[in-house]
Amino acid sequence: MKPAAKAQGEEGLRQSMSWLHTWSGLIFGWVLFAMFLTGTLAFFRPEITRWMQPEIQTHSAPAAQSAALAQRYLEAHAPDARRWFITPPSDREPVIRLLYQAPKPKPGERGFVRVALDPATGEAVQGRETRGGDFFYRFHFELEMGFPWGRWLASIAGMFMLVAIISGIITHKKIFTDFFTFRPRKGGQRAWMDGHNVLSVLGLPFYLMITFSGLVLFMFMLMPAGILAVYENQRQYSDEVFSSFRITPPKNAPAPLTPLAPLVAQAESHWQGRVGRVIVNNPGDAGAVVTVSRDAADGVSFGRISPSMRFDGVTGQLQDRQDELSAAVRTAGTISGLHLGLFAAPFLRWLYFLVSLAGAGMVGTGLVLWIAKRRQKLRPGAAETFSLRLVDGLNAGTVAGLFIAVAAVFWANRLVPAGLPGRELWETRAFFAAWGLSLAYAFLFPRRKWQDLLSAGALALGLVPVLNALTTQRHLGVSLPAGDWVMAGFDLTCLAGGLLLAWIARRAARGRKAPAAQARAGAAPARRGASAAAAAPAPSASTHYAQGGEAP
Amino acid sequence: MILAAFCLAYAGFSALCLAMDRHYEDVFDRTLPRRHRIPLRLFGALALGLSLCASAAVWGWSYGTVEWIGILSLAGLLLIWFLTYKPRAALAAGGLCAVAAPVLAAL
Repeated sequence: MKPAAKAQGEEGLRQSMSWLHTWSGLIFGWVLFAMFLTGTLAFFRPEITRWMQPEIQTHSAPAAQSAALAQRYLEAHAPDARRWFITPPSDREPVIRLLYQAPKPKPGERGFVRVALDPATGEAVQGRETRGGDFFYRFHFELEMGFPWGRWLASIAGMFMLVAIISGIITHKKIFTDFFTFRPRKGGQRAWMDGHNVLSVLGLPFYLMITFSGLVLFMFMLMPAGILAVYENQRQYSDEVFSSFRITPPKNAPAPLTPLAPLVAQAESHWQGRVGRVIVNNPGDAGAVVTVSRDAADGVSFGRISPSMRFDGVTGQLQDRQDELSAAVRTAGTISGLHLGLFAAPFLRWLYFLVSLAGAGMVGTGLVLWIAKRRQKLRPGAAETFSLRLVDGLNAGTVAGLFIAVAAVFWANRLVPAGLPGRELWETRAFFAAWGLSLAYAFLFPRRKWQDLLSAGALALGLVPVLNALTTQRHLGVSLPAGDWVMAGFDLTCLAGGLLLAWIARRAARGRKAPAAQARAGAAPARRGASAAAAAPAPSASTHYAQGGEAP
Repeated sequence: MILAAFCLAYAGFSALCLAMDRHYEDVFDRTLPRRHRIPLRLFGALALGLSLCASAAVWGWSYGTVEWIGILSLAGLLLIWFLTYKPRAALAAGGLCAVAAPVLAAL
């Protein structure tokens, strides 16, 4: 009887894992969907920012030349600052980004000043105030909650994602036999199950990587014990690991800063690579130190810590060099580098985007599957329970509503007057207002919610190129012939997203109508079909029920 | 070369898919003969492996592997989507990819 006992044990494990998968997925599903969708957008963070500041049209320039311009600007505008951070322009972000800490900030402010310079002229560029792609990037791991609560919530959700992935693998009986199987015509639970499986299995390496590496990015916060056991405090630890950011004391004796351009050129020729950041400690002081770090886009393992060179800020002498990072640092760097995807060239970046979007689809189908399973078990004619209605409403309001919310940010970006003070807040408010309204709509119109919200999302996203054409001079008619792929790519992606949502909305509508027609004909089983199909924008759940078939 | 890597991944998945009874029947309306199964599987595995080599040939192994995994996911999802609605065309496209891959790699 041994084999039987073993089989039972296996079934027991599978069942308990199935329970775990169902509930960990449901409870954090909505947060995870939002994190997946905004994280997907965050892979194109600089490009989104550029679209959202259409008045800034600059071109990249060599890093050394840009460092000289930055130095000229900072010596004129921030000679007293304790530290300067200079980010030379790149093809993705063709402006010189400056950050410095004002010596005497107003009370209650941290006093960090951000400036963007035109690499051609060295003059500050003025675009509309917007958070641009940073909004999606920040939302992805902070969820617009105060520090550190958002990060904690995102980390806990990430932990549950990892639980859901692993329990999902154990639960899924036929990974290989069902590898290529998607049967939307079967309708209901079966179709959603197939869709969920296919999206999950095909992207599995990516999901495992992105979830684990996301947690590793926050290991300093999540598992500080190891750090505190070795170092006296966090500061000492970060000074050693992130040595290029180390704060050095001033000597309080004035001395002119060495020209930065030759140092940047020296680092570039030494690495045969690009420079990603220049940090100047105590500019204008005898204790000035200049750190030059390599661009994170230069290597998979440079995600958080890249090679750097430290120079004396007065004489320009090389003080220290970190070329070969230790194996542990490189491993950690590779894991976080894979998550951030800064190293990815355009083609790989698109792969990241698409597979990550499939991840959002995985979470979304999983949420809908929860409903589809329970709808199918309802007795014919039985009223839906409160929990079913609640989850269904939250599903539609979050999954479909978030697309509307994202589109709302882009609409607000073009429609809120460019000169309005504090206008970037209105973009954030538009996001939450659209999401909130979608949730309200989902509960007010439970029967039409999927179809209507998806259609609204399709329109809102699909019309972004039109809106752009009406409000700027950089629409598709201009950007396509000029080969301006940032602007054109953004517009075309919105259009494609709109079309995709329209397709899903049409399927949802069909799934709703066909069983309804059956119900009118007075067929009793169709009642059940109507509720099952209304639950879900099931790709042709209708055909199955229209034929009067029973669910397997 | 990236296109070649993609074609190899698509062709490899198509062969692996054809090596399964359910999908073979969808296309040929008869059961999968046993003597076809092993060669199809071998071809599929080989094509996926070559796809990794093609990707690594362009970018080196660390970057190439990451890109290969992305290509696999994309090729697989496209094949499944296509397979759902037009099974014959989807697998015919796999054959086409198998032919196109060496040409694309040689270019």
